[in-house]
Amino acid sequence: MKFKSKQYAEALYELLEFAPEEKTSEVLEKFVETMFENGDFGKMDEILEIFGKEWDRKEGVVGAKIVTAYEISEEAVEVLREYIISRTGASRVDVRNEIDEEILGGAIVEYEDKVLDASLKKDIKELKELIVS
Amino acid sequence: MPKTKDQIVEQIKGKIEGFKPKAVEENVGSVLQVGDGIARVSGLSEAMSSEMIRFETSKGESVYGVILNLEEDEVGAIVLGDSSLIKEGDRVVREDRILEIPVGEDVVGRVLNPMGEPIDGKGKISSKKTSPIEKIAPGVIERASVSSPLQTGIKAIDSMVPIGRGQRELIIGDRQLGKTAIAIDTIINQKGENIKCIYVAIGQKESKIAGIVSKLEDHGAMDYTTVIVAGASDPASTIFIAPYAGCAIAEYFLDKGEDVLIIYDDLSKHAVSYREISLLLRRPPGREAYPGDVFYLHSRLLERACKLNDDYGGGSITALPIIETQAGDVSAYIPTNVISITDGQIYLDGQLFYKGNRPAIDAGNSVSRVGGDAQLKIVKKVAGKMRLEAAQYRELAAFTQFGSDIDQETKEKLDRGERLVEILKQDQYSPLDVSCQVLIFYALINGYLDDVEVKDLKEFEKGLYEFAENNASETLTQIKKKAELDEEMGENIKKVLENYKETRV
Repeated sequence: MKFKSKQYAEALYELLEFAPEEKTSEVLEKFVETMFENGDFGKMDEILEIFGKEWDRKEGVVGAKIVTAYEISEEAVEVLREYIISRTGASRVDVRNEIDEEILGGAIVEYEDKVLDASLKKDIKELKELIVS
Repeated sequence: MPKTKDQIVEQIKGKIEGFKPKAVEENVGSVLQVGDGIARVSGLSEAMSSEMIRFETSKGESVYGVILNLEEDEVGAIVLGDSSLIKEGDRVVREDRILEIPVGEDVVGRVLNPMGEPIDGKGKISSKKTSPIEKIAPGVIERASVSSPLQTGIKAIDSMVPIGRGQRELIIGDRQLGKTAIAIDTIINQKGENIKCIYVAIGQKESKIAGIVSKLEDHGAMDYTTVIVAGASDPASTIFIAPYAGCAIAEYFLDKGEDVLIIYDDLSKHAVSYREISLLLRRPPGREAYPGDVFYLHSRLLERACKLNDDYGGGSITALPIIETQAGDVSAYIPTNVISITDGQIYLDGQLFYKGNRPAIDAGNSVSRVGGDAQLKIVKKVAGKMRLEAAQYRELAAFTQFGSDIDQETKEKLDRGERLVEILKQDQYSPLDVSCQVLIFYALINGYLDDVEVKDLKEFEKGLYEFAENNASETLTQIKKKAELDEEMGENIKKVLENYKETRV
């Protein structure tokens, strides 16, 4: 029987969830062995990626990307972090800050499959559309 | 136009002041796979079925799509536009609305694609009003029964399978038997009838469409007609939405209380394009590989044709869907579906066509389930007898094929039937006014044609119409206006016929 990458990832998570701490390496070993036997080792990358997402989802971790035109202060990040927590109910938000001068000012917040575009570049574009039309 | 530079500055300033920057959280996804006009998109966790989505391509252009499948981790969408611009990983944004097309008065006389963009090179559609292409059909409360006739101008149809405003009458037959010709003649005959016409070409050859448009122009029919074109070379997604787009335009006029005639040419190709999309989206195939909901595909479209009651404006949409059969097989999947949805069908027969009976309408297999109530009383009276005579003739003709000695009565019936078949022949692009139809039918059933040779009938008929228009135009208008066959009317018609016959001697 063939298993999908998602099924592998979910199985791995459940195994680790219920296994005691010291058995972790044993579980992993057996997991890899089973994958070999099933001839699915090539799916490893995909499985790990899905496993990572599954882990985050179950643990209430949300990854976020904040794009700004220049470095922003820790307080500003904190405000955005609060915003994401209020929207998703996550217990932890891993924030990654990226600098992109193209957006001129403001910020673009990306998390899960949501995007909050509050950049100056977008405002100017909208203003242009308002004046030209 | 502002006069000074201060005014210009003031105006711009005003616009800037009115601008309030706002940030809205968007639900986005990314393209996993694209090809064959289908895209699979991850993310979009809040997406709704048949919602519009926008693909933000790397070239900065936006391509639109419509979501058809909602799956566990992804959505399946059809791409409306150039799918080659879309690359894997491109961002996809929800539009939060169902696909809409522009509607309004200025679509009349235009040739549009199913997205409502003009393709006739006559400039933009200025209408700002849009309408969703998918709408739920009017319910029981809003409807009225079909009560007024829609004259096709084709003798065989108006007499034996009458169509009423708000009816759905299927035109069915093999290729090249004149299905489109009936539809086009019907459009041409609506001149001056205050009916808007919409012709939806679904998967037709572009050359054929060009021919149709120029014919409509020649007859002045483009003044009240809109043509929606999804050509044979267009992707399946475009062909799929074409009839719904046509119906959305029709509904605009319906809501204004007007009468609309819409022609779907043809729904077989529409079903094929939907099958293509469904198979690409990996929906399970059923009979003839069509998906399970192919019945709903057509029923939801044709249910939108209706006659509204006066409380809701009293407008109507009359739909003439066309179905192409293969080798006369009406029991295939799509033909049976559409036959069961519509209020009757006009069946075109190959043998009749090749015998020279054109339009090749098979009176035995054609029915109109509701049109009879809508027929003008006078037409109903004369055509009712004709229907009977036609049926008797068919039976006798089959019966007497082998025997030579027949009694007088049978011979008379056969002669009458021969003449009936002859007068039902009609050239293309020459729809006939209902008053003239009444004249010739009256002449037939009352024996005025019995002494005219069958081969002379055509010329006799032509002469009759000319004579009536020149010498008895009053009777003609009366037939239309009064629309009832009482004694006085009968006398009048008799007089016209007798006078005409005298001129021929």
